[in-house]
Amino acid sequence: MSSLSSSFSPLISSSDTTQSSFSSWISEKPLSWFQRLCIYILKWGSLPKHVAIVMDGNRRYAKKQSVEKIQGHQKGFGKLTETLQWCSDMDIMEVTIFAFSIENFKRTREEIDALMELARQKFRLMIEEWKKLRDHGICVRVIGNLALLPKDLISLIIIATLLTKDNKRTFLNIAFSYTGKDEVLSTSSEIINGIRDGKIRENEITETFFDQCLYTYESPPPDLLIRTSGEFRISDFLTWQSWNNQIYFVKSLWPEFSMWNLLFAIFCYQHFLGKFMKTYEDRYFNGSANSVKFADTLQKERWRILVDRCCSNGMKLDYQTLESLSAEEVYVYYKKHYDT
Amino acid sequence: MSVLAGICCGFLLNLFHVLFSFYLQLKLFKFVFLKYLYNINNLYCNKFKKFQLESELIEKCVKNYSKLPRHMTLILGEESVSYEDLIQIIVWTLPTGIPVLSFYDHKNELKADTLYEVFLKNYKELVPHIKWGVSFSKNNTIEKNLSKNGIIFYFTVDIKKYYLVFYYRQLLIDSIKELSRKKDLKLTDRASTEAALDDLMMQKLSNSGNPDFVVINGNVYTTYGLSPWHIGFTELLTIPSYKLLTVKDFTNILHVYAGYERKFGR
Repeated sequence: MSSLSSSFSPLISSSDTTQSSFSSWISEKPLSWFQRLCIYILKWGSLPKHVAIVMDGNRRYAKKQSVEKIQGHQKGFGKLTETLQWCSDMDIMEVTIFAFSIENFKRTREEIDALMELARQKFRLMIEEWKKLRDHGICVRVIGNLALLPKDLISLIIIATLLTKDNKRTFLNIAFSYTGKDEVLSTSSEIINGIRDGKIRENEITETFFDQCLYTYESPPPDLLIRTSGEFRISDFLTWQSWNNQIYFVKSLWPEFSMWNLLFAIFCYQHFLGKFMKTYEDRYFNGSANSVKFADTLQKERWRILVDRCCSNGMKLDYQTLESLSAEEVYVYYKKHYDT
Repeated sequence: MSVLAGICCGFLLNLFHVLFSFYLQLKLFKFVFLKYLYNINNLYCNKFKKFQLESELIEKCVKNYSKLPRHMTLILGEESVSYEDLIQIIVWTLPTGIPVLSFYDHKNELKADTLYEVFLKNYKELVPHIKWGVSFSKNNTIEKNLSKNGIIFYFTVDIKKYYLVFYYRQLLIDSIKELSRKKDLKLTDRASTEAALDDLMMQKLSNSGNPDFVVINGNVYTTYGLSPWHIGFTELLTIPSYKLLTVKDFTNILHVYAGYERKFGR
């Protein structure tokens, strides 16, 4: 199926032939009339509410183009912004991307430093474009074991998420320093400590309560998981949440991922929707007041720990105070303390 | 006008889906035809002789493969259970050197004891070579170990259970509660808690461990609820139908696995 989509050439597609822009989180490339027609037709079927993407293949792309690896990652960023635009055009309201796995810390020091520097650039860009993101209604969340990241990067992530937290039209979840097993184990560890400390009772621990304690507590499970570069595994990405979704593997490398790949993935999603297990039904968390409080405290505690970690890096306010500021105030705070 | 446009688009989309179904059926016919030829070829062949010939072919093919899975799982998907075809897959896996083969049926129609009885009826002489996993009530002792490249190993066949829709999720919840009750267990930091939980989950879920390779029956990549403890880094592959596999298709499946490259994050 993936070979069919990669051999399908668009009839008219000016946006696919132009160079991807690296300079903005918002891609405003016009779609061809044929692309718009295909989207319109597809929208008459079921669309996934939440798409997860493993953006694999940047380094292989760089090797193929005989450029530096970091340029491959830059191109990958450009492709990301385009893909977000396509998802938005298709009314796919939630997108989760796998930007950096905990396993990737095994790469060379040089490459990790380059990736962290790229991440800093992109988060700074996101902060500078906070008004554009607000106008497009994009809420950015970053999920993962962020304590493993450099402190200055954590600060930028905190600022970026605070600036966009009130946007409600589209949700972009960036999995950074993340693996599914780490998410589940660390959440479980926090709950076990909670039980031992008497903060939560055993009979209050249920599956829906557990979901509320995960990094992804604000998101529904992904309906469709797309992985590029021809690898046929999910690499521990949202494994707990992806127990019953459809996975679509694309042979193209991530920077070569085209709108036709995405459209075909959604077409296959529609085609096979009734043919596997029932889609995940919304499971309403109806826990006790104590369990709701525990889950809420757990999430806030994670951020508090991160903010404390950044104190030595210049973060002067605690998370509670930062959260209460408006986006404009957060931006002023950032300009005063971080912008060099 | 917009209503008319909507109706036309809806009709077009349905037409594309029908054409796609037709395309998938055409692809399937190729396998149906090849399986038919395979069956005709083996119609009058003695079963054990066929096993010997096919074993030789399989051994010859896998000798050239750079790697083989340590644990292969076949997900039955939407198709009904065919015990004859499943035991054929067991028989083909035996000469490969793959230590563990398991089956996963989310519909819970696959019965371990029936599988064992059908295997016993057709390949009685091979039964002592196989370690039947915990799903099978007939826990036999191995009389004849297998040997590959001088290494003695057991070939285990098992079935992964799917009791309830959210079975493994509830299993994790139960494990969390169990660990929190163990007051004698010193969980001094996050790392020790996580390690203890991971061990407990692996213990509860399966004695066979994580599959390296999951073969999914059907055209769609979905794991039908197979536990995430099992499939985080597992290679996946779909096949049109396990009932249409020939021995050549089986070796091709292993060939595909041999071609997968793992970077382990690097």
